Order: sequence, then C-alpha cells, then structure tokens
Amino acid sequence: MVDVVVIGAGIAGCAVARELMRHDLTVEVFEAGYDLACGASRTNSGIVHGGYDPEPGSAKARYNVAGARLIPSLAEELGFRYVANGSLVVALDEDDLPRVEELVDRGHANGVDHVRAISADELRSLEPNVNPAALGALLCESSGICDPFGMTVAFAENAAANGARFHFESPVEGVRHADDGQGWLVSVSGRDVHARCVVNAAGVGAMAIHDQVSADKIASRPRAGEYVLLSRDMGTTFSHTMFRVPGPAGKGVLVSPTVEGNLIVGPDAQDRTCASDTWTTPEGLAWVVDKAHDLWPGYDRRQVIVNFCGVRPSGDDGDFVIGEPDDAPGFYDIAAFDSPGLTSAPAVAADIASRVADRLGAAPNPTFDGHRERPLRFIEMDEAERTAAIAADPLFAHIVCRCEQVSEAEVLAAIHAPIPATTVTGVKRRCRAGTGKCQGGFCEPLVAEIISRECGIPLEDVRLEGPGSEVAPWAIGEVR
Amino acid sequence: MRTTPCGHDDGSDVIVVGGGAAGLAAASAAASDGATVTLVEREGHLGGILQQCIHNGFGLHRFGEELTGPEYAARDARMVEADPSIRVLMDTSVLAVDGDDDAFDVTLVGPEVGMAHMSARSVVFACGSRERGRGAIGIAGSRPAGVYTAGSAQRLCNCDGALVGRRVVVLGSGDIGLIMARRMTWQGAHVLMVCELASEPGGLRRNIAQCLDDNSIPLHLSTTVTRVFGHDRLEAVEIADVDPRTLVPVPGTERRVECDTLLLSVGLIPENAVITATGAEIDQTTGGPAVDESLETSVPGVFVAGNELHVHDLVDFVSEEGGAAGHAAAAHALGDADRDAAPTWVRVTKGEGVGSLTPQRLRDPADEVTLRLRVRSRMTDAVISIMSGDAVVKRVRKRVVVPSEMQTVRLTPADLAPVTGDLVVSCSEREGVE
Repeated sequence: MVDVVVIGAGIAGCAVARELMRHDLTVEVFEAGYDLACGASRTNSGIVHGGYDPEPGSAKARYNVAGARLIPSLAEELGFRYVANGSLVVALDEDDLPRVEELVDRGHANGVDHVRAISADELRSLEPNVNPAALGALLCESSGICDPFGMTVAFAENAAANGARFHFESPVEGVRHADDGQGWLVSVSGRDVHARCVVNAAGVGAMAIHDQVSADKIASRPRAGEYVLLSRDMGTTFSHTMFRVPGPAGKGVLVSPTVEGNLIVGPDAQDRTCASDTWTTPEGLAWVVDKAHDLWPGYDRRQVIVNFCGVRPSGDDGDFVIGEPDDAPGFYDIAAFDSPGLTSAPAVAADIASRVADRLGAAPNPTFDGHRERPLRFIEMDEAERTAAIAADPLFAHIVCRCEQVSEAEVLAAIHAPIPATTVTGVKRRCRAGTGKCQGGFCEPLVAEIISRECGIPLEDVRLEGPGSEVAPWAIGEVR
Repeated sequence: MRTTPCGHDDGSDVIVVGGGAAGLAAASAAASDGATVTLVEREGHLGGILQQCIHNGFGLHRFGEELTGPEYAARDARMVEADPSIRVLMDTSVLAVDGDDDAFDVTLVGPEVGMAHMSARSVVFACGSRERGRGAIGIAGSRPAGVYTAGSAQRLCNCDGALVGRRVVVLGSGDIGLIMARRMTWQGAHVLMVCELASEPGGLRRNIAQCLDDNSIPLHLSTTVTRVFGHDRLEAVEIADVDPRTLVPVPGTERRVECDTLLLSVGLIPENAVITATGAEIDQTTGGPAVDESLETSVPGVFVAGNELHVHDLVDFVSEEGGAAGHAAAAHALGDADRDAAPTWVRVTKGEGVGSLTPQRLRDPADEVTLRLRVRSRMTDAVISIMSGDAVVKRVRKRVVVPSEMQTVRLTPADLAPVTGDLVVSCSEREGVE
C-alpha cells in the first residue's frame, strides 16, 4: 500500500509531490503523458500573477496571493527561472479608467502588495513602446514571470530526489473506494494501486476523475488559449507584463517578456470539446495578433518563431475546486485549475500536503532536502564560468544549438536528469536546444542522434513527444 | 598552438568563420596571398550543407563536370587541409567578434581550444543561411511529428539513413524542397504534391524538370498550407488557393490532404547573428550585410561571402564569392597600397524590376565589379541595365530571367569609366528599351 497517489505530473501534481516529501510518506505520481508538464503547465503565459484579478474571497484570490509570495524564494531554493518584472494593466479608452480603479481596490481587498494606478505619463516612461493612446494603467510591482516548464521540472526533480516515484505514460483509468473501506484503489496500466490518500491533480482530466468518487459533480469545460512567441531580439520591447483592462472573457491578450528573453503574445479563450484539442487556428491567431496591436502598435510579425495552444480546465463557477469532497474523505482535488493555477500551485500544494499529512498522522521527514541545484547553462555563464565548466566537462565546449548556444553537456544533463528527458521535445523544454530562431532546423537531427546514442535506442525509435511521434520512423530501404 | 584558452595569442592574419563552400574558398584564397588563416567550423566536418547534398549537379560552372555535394566539398577541403598556413578548428563556434579594422578579438569555444580568444587583422564571415520554419510562416494547427524543414529531413535521410515519411506534401518550391521531393520518391515514399505560394516556382528550372516533371510530382502554384492536423504524427494538411496578388488564402478553397509528412522549403535567411553584433549594416532586402565590391561590410576588415551575404542558387558562385572575400581579407590584413587610397563611394541601388542586389556600394568605381541580383518577377527577352545618371554603364540581354535564379553582371574598369554618380540597376522586358 502506498501512502499517497498523485494523479498528474503537471505543476500542481509535482508541487504537491514535493511538499508531501517533507513528511514521512511514500508517494507515487502517475502521469498519462510522456513527460512532466504535458498539458496546460507547459502551454501558458508563464506569468506569476499579482492577485488583483480574482474575486475577493475566492479560492483563486487566496491561493494566488499566497503563491505569488512563495515563488521568489522557491525559485532560489529549487533553481528555476523567475524575474520580478511587474505588470501593467493598460487603459486604452475612457471606459477602462474606472475599471483600473476597481482592479486596484480589488488588489487591496485581496491583500496584494504594491498595486496602484499610474498616469499615462508614468506609463510611457516605464514602457515607451506602449500604444501612445493609453490613458493610464494599474501597476503591480509584485507580479513576475517564470519558466512554467522549468518550475514543474524543479518541483518534480526535488520530489524525486526526496523519494517520490514518477510513472509516465500511465493514465489513471479509475479511482474507487478500497473494498475494505480503507483508502482508495487507483486503476492504472491494468493494475490497482492501493493508496491511503489520493491527490487529483490531473489538469483537464481532473473533473472526470473527481466525478468518479463524488456525487457533487464539477461543471467545467476545456478552454483553449492560443499564443505566438517572438524571437529573443524582441524581448526588450517591454519590461513589464502588459495587459489590457480585462473584459468578461478573461484577462485578455497580454504581451510580455519571458524569462528566456522572448516576447509572448496571447491568449484568446475558445471552448474546445476535448482536452487534447491543442491546435491553433488561423482565426484565433489573427485575433490574438489584432489584440496585441492595441497594446503594441509596433507588433512585428516577422519576428514570430512559433505559435502554440494550451487547453486549461475552466470551472463553470469561475473558481478552483480544492480539497476533499464531503463524500470522499482522503481524496483531494486540485481541479478546475485554470489561471492563475501556475502562480497558485505552490500555495495549494503546501495546503493539500499538510492536510494529507494530518489525516495520515505522518511524522516529518528527517532527511528532506528542499534544495535543487539549478542546471548550468552555457549562455548564462561569464567567461570564467565557461572555462571552469569546460575544465570539469569538455562537452560544454561543443555547441549543439547555435541559436540558443546550448552545449552538448546541457543536452546530456537533460537526458540523464533525475527524471530523464528521452524525447526531442523533452530535451528542448529542459535545456532550450531548438527554441531559437531556426526552431530546431539544425539541432533537432543532432539532438535525435544524441538521444539515440545516450539511450542506446535506434534513431528510428527516438520520439519528438509521445508514442507515435517518432522523428525519423523508417530506415532507408524499409519503406514500401 | 597559436591560441591559449581564455588568453590572447599572436593570432592569425585572417579568421574565416564557417567551413562550407564560401569559407573553404575564402581560406584558400587568403592563404594563397600569403596570409596566415584560421578556419573555424562549428560542425565535425568541412563542407557545410554540401555534405548532405548527395545529389549531383554541383561544379558545372567551376569544374566543367557534375559532382555530388560531398565530392565538390572534398576538392576544397583537401586543399585547405593540405595548406600549412591554414589552421582548421572543428566543432568550434565563434561567439563574438569584437574590435575593428585590423585588431579583431574573436571569442571561440570548441573542444580543441576550450573557451578562447584569437586576434585577427581581418575576419571573413561565411556562416551560410538557416531555413525559415513553420512558426515563421504562421501555419496554424497542432504540433505533431512529421513537419520538417526540407534541410532537416535531408540531413536525417542522407546522413543518418532515416526516411522521415511515406506520404509527403512539400510546401515551397525552393531547390532543397525539389531535391527532397525527388529523393523521397526514389526511396519509395509517395510525394503527393509540391505547393508554392507564389505564382512561379521558387527553385531552379532544371530542378523543376529533373525533380518534379521526371518523377510525375504535381506542382500547385498559388497554393499554400494553412493548417496541420494530427496528434502524435501528422495525419493531414489543409491546403488553400492564394490570391496571386495579395498572397492571402482564398476563403472557401480549403481542402484536406491526407499525409504523414510535410516538408517546408519556404526560404533561406542569412545566418547573421554574430556579424550583426559587430555593428555591420544589414540590408533588409537580402537579409545579409551591405558590402562594397570587395565584399567588405560597413565594419572595415569584416568581409562576408556566400549565403550569409545573399542567398545563392549555385554553389559555384558561392565559391567564387568566397575566393574574392578571402583575397580582399588578405589584402586588408597584409596591407595593400590600393586600399590605402581614400574611397570614392558610389551607391549601387535597385531600380525597376530588381528585388535584391549586391554589392550595395562601390569603394572605387575603377575596380572590377561583380554584381549579383535577383529580379522581382519572371521576364522574357529581358535587359539588365546599369545606369549612372543618364549614362549607360552596361546593358545585358537575357532570354529569360526568373526570381529563383541569381543574375551575375561583371563590370570592367572600362565599363565603369563613365560613372559620375550613383549606379542604378534595373531589369525590364525589352520593348521600348532600344
């Protein structure tokens, strides 16, 4: 019997697994996808929201503000990228100005630090590239940006280092009460795993799992957001995360630098029928670009390097569903976990982990070590650091990805990480080989060759992502 | 050893960045003029992209015979490797070039030198180009495996022995796409079609004939791919007609084509990240640096050749250009009395019918000049005119000119004698010209 099964290895599941390891508990994480953060955790804006947007008194308001306070120190402790760049919510017409005031008041009601209204002049001095027609803005200095995939990896690797076990391509088929009434049976890959507690952090799949154990169903729908990403030449266009004053459909289109120095533009909000409907549409992308023009008249489409779509689980009542349903003790939801889920995840994880530990009467884990070393990156090193890194590992001197200056040592570190990256996209997400202007045109075959060599598998078996996504599926001479 | 890790050395007269066709020719040319040369190549072999171009057709102009890419590369690589005044650094990347004129500080990283600096009097950039990808042209849809740039697929096919697909749609009729359409057909894949956004092909006419016509592969002009479908592997693409004037897809013409592979051959972009950081002025129409007739950029002592300057269609001319840059870089490094004279700048500008052009200026209008240009549209019975004010410098008749084929015009000192001011290069069909 396992103490805790966590369903889902996105940001919520990984953060919970790591917080659970503070206690003397056995933890198994089951993930349907091929890697960490296969769903909304990797396809979002990467914003650490200040917390002025959610309805006061909601779970979103509480966890957002608490999470935003935790993330800066977690970034240090766990070695993921975070920049406190602040955000601006821009008023473009007269009707927007009272909404700015409302948002400032809401921020104060939610306990957000450092939020205030600023004038058009102050806005322009902060962001000279903003639409000159802007009339003012909300400034929130306590919001930031992070690397959402890297943050998930950091939690997961630290959880694994402290004893949590991760299983990929392991979709949970069902959850039911154990026959003896003690705990839960989780059906996965054709067997039942007996768990004392279950944490349901299955992202867009969480509502279906919840509905198996509780009569109190969660109404939700998959909602898609489409983005375009611009090259690192554009990352200094704005220093703050730029929002338009929100409308009924959500926070609206943002234009923001990323921690890697790109510029991200998006999202829209479209209902989709299925969680795996992660495609972009010509119409959606055109709409996003059109809205970006409102904030940034200088939008330069020639700098676009990729477009992508994320599907997030959107609860019909607008709030997260967190904690034990009344009729399912020992089963903990992190459901309807859409924006600001990324920001909220650390606070939700700490809360859920302590509730689980209390229920199970778990003692503290005396060997827990919450520190994770940030992986070395050639591009971020100064010359002395590069010389030292090469002296320790000569593969730092071999650049594999020319656009992002990623060395072979970094590719190997991703492949041989505590939770290994065995796919081209897995390597790309961890060390950024293939994320630059040529989008892997040069390094994707190289990375595939390195994975083949390091994992001892034929090149034909190296995958881009999940099963069926082999990069070069046939050998010459085999096709007929 | 001339380089010390993270220290300064006595350096080379000329550092050549890139060991493809242009870089190899530049290194040999500079060495033949007596310069000491370091050639820096980021991959583990010389020859650059030629190594994955196993088809023939290379070298007709230069050697009078048809060679494969690796054969062509080997001829130059052997010369470079045998030349005692050229040092070759493999698997080595140039991260930055600082300084100017004849005191450059080149920052390198590679297995042989570690993290190192080298000094040089001249630098020749020959970094080639990169392929425009899916994101840059904004194709919507999902992100499955099975979407490749043609060059990536070529590497997987010709260097790794892998075949990337069985039912293939090619977007873009650039030369690599045409070559790969034939290559995959020969390996047993079914290439359903080549779609081209423009109303005329993007590749050489001989490649349309030999790669598509000879293999019965249909070419759909004024057609593009608007969407891709598939979760793990590509399942289909949506194609649509485009308005030939606006190049925008025509609503209602979308149709689905079942396929497992999409190859993109939608243009090459000069790889100019490092040279841009030197401060060299970039020409927005070529995408490469602006140069004078010696292929010197706006930074004195920094030269450029090959696809990093201007995307070429024939490697023979890339080698020729590399050689010219190598000679000029050696002259700059070793001191050349001609170059000490004060320049008499003459601008060379694009007139009617010309899409892109190098060089963009002349340092000394009494020099020999090789103009390379691409026309905007297909013309028959065309005349390329080089004018200086009202004076005709040169007129060249061409039976057919197309945008996909680079035109070369040589100007002698005698041609340039009447030059009094800026040169304007134009191209038009012959009626009304004479």
